[in-house]
Amino acid sequence: MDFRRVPSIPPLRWDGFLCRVVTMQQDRIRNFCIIAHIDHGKSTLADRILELTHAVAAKDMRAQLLDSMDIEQERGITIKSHPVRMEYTAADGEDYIFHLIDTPGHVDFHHEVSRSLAACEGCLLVVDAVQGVQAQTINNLYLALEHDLAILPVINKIDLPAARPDVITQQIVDLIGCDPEEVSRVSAKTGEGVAELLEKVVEMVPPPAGDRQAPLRALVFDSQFDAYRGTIAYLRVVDGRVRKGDTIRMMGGGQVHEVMETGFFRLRQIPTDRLEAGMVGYLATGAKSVSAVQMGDTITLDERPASDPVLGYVEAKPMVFSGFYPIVSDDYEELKDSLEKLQLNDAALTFEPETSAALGFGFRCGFLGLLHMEIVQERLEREYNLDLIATLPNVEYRCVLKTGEELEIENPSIMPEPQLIETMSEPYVRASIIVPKEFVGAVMKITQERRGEQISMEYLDAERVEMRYAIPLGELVVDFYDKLKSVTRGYASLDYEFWEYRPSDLVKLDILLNGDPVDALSVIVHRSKAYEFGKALCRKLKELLPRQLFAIAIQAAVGSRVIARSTVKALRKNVTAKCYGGDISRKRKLLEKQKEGKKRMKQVGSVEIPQEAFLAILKVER
Amino acid sequence: MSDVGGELSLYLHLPFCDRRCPYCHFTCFVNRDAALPLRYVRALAAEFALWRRRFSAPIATVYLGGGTPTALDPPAREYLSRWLAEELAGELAPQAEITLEVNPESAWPETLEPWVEAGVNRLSLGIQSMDEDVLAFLGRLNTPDSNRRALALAARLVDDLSVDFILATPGSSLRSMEESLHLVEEFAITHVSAYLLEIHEDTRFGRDVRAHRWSPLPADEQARRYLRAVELLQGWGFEAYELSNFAREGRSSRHNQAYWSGGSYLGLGISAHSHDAGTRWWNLDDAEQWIEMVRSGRPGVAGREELSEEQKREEELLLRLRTREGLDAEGQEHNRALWERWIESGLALQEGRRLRLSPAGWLVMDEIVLRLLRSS
Repeated sequence: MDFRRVPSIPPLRWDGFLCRVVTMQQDRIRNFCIIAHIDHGKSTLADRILELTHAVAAKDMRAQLLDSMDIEQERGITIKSHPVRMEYTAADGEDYIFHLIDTPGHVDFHHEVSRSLAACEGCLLVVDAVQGVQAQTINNLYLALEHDLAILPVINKIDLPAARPDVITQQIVDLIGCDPEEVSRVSAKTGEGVAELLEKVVEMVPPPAGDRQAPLRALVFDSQFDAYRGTIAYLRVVDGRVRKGDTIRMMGGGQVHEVMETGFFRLRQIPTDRLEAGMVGYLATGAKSVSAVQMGDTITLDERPASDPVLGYVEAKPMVFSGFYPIVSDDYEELKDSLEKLQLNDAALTFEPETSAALGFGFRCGFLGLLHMEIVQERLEREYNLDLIATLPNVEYRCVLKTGEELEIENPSIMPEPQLIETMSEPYVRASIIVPKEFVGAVMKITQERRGEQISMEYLDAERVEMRYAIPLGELVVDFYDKLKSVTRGYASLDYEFWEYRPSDLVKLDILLNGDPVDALSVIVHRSKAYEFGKALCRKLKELLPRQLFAIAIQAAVGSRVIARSTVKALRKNVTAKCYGGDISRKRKLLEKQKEGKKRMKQVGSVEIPQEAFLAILKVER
Repeated sequence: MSDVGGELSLYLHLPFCDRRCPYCHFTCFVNRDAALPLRYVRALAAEFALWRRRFSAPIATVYLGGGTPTALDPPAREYLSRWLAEELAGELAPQAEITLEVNPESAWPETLEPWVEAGVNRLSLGIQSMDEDVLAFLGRLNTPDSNRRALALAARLVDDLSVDFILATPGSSLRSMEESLHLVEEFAITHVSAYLLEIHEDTRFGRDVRAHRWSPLPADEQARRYLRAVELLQGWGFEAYELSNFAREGRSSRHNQAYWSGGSYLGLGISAHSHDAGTRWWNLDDAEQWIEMVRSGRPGVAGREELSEEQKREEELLLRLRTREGLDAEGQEHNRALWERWIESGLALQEGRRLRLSPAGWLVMDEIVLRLLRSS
């Protein structure tokens, strides 16, 4: 088949061009997204769709086109929503507008997925032809069903020799109860089946239902900061219309802005004179603060406000916290500026100044999950050229004091003394793990080690089992996913969502060096794990602390009780034996270099701690 | 560059060796050009003459080092020793210290006597060890026998007799080190340089270690050897006046002290380094280029640096702490807490107004210097 057929609309150019289809009948619009388990080929399918609709010129084409950040390209993941508008001429000869919203695939970015879904009427549920239905497939499907979307099941990678389209079709049929014929089979890589899929989009995804005469209601599903145009809201117009010069009001936040520009998305943003019900586009507010436009909020017109906001929105809350400290304390202000800049495009990132006796001035940052944390850290280091120490990530604990006072603990070092505490509680997630049946035992073992409680276990088919657990989030955030992958030889898939806070026997484990506590190394752990973890920490620190002029006693303590210890012996020799004429300059230069290195060391009492010690703590077996 | 008055030290670099030692990172080579040594030593004399216009202070110390000065061929040796006796003699301060570095295997009456007759009054012998295995490991041409023979000869020729030892070679025993050091008691030795073996990257040893062919002795063992060496030498009446240098009373090397006390010194020959009042400069390291430059009437300088005040302070700290003299306690008030802790734990001592490091402190001196710099 020829999937490169030429549509009647010629390829469009987006540098200062005028779109041919400015106003589109609402029934010619299709808004959809692609949801898939990670690595099931979502971004590649998006690439093919862009090609087929000529939304991108051949010379601009490259893999994972919508993932514009370096990190996205390198890691093969999608972090931000990437809406794009395409014109498509269907087999019936009619012109349609497609709005495709590429959504993040990782579990950390659930909230982004949720908002993107709220902007659509349909979704492509992509399933790998080899791997089949995975944990995120199922959870994303539930999300899509919650938003009442038309679901177009798609089996991708049918070109692979190991592809099992019939088996996978059956999995999908079992999962969503559709007819086998409804399942599209494509290869995003070769393009096979993609043209047919686009026809299905026209046929199966309902046109948007909004009322263009009603008061404006537009859902903000993402935002971006632009130095010239201020905060830019990515929106889906549900009812009414909006144009440049309108005065808009945020229904949730209450802020009022004047619309500087409206437009739609290609690879870049293309201004248009207005956006109308059913359309996906952007709106520039000129506002210089990230709080001007909250994602998930509804935009309406100030002079003719709507009565109800668009529903179906859950605010993203940080789940994982870590202290970010500049290695060189002079970089503090720069770190602050950089975090502020990042936050403009990443509303889920939170940060507050904090001080550590060991690390100096820094920020307690909140993230959606570990991947989110890694990405923020990497961007700070790469795009803003900062050297950072990130402390061991932790979840937010809750503490009720004997006085009845309640505390939220985002930083372990502020956990009160045990005798003051009535109860401690920690967040639990509902985790879903799908594995081939031979790994059930392995999964039970590691979830048990992580204090997981099994809720259910269900055979999805003869081979695969879905195991559901309640697990403390704190146990998941460190390296659970890597562990799970390794004990199941890569077959397990994991998804989870926040469930509830549960009371828990938690203690604070402190690390002392020569008797001085190192606040940045304190962790909150379950009492049953304190001993092992303390031992492991002491061992690791012994490896990492360089020998110094005096011996270093490393102790792990819960309260005043030392539960593990080790010692770094005193340095005995560090000197250049010969130093005559020519050696002197060399020696001084070496010293100057070492002096710079020393600046990167953190000092607690008389002990110097290299940054690696703080980093390697992340890798300690729990 | 200015002549600050006072005294001047002179270093003459003689880069020729019969064999390259696998640990040596100095500029030296096994010469194949029969005419080069004479041209080289002529250029040494010429370079001195060029500098002498600017540095007129009396010359308090001269050091003929290398390389292997005693391996110079007769014409070059004759030229240089005559220059020493006839030209340089008139420029010397009273009681100038004139040292010649000697490799035992090339120490014979005919290679040493001309130098002594020309004014050399101090000999420094590269003994390194009295253990055959250690000498073989170090790739030395000398043997325990040639060491003894050279020492007997040297002791007959001069009153100031220095020997070098290399401590803590891998595979060697503490006992072997002790036996080697005993040589000091056997001969009339007045000065000892005892160095822990250093591995420099661009040497054969450096490559060996990088390739994991062998490892240096563990740092703790090196420390143990060094402290034992200090103990033995002190027991025999030597004073550690610098971390690797030991002398009987009044016999410390004045030339060395010029390096550590910020004195003015002129280095002549390839790669030689010079210092005067906070300016350091160094010579070209290619013999032909250096000769050519000197011939054209300019000293063979390759580069120079002017030390900032901070760099001067750093150097002073770095160098003074190596010596028994140590630092003035008044200048260290801001580091009082550090020093007190070091004194308490035996790394440092205070004697009157001087703060200095003990042998155990010298062993960790690089760390100590960094601590002092960090807190200042």
